[in-house]
Amino acid sequence: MLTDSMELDTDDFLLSSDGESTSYFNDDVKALTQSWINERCAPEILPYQEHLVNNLLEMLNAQAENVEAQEPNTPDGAFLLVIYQQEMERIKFVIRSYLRTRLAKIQKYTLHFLQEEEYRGRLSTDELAFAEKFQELLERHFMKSCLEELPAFLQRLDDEIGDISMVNRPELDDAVICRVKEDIGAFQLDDSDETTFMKANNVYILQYKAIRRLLEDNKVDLV
Amino acid sequence: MPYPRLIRNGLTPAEVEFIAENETITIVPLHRMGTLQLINGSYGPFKPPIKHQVPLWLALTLKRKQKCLIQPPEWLDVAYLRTKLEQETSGENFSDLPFRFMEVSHALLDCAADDVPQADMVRTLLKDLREVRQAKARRGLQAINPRCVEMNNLGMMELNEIRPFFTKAFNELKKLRKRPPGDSQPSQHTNSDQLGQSQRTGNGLSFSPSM
Repeated sequence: MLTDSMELDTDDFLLSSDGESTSYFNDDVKALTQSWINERCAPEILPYQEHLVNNLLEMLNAQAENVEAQEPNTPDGAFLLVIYQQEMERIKFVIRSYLRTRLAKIQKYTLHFLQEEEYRGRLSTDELAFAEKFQELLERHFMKSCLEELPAFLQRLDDEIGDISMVNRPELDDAVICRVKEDIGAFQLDDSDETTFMKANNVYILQYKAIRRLLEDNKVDLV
Repeated sequence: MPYPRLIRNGLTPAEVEFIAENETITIVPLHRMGTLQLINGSYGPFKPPIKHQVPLWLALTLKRKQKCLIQPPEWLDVAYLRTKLEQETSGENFSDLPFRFMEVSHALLDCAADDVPQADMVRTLLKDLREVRQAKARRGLQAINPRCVEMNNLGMMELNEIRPFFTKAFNELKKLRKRPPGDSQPSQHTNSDQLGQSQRTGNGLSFSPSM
């Protein structure tokens, strides 16, 4: 299904580039921009937007071919190409920043993401391969540089003593700022009985874990 | 290459402006131009003086090449901003300006000031508004609690500005509330205090959403 709709989008796009009058609108850029903002603001890693990223990369390729095929012989034509390039650069920036933000989180919480099934599922195939390789390198480095010399019971990298764990975990109760997308109504923020009445466009600063599910259901945006 | 730690806390002001450039705005083209088949959608064909809705970044690029006039949004207007400033100074709540008013107005006044009527006056009003709102946001810090703070009608740029301080304060308060076991004193907290509303009045008024 994924590939189907991807092809459809690209076809639409190519079709309209020769027909003058077809007008179209594509929401992918907007959607990925919001995913990027969410990723930047959330303490944990969010599900990878594979469909969006692939779609946009494909459209970028098609657009690049389009642009290359055109030979501007007037100043106006050259100006149009500048606009096409500008849009492509804007989209590439968002994609790059999105991926880099995710990489930063993967490097910080590598072991935790690899251990938890839920997080493994949120990574793309490439990200997962990167995380595994990165962890392997880290372990080998720690081993070689010092752990080898220590007794075996001190060599572990995922030890726990009381509440303190060696594994870095995202702080899910960190403060985030969120904006409500649609009326939610009375919503329970924590274990207490108090509820907060959430209306569209309201802005709150609260603990990330309180709105984690709302973010998943796409009912709030992080800002 | 991952991001260095510094930029990871929220967004940079430049990024906030970049995001605002995706907002749509109305332009009046000054030249004929074919349809633009962008990834985001198709725009045009442009035939003066037929108005078009385009993303702000496109409008700014066209404006820089003197290929269009930008029609400022209706809130970027002296009379409108004056009433908002009055509301802002008289009321405790933040007045409902568009979510991205700071970024959009900044971009327009920067690059298309000649399309904004009484641009200098608009600039002054925006500056006054900003000062009043900033002072209010600072006062609102008194209302901070480690559960939930409502900050309706603050713009994206303003939120991004107060984010480092507010989130830090929020997290510290939360740590303080985590009492050591054995200390069973009930914690006292008020239900989501409204920022910009003095605690004394404490009426739970919600105001109309922005935009």
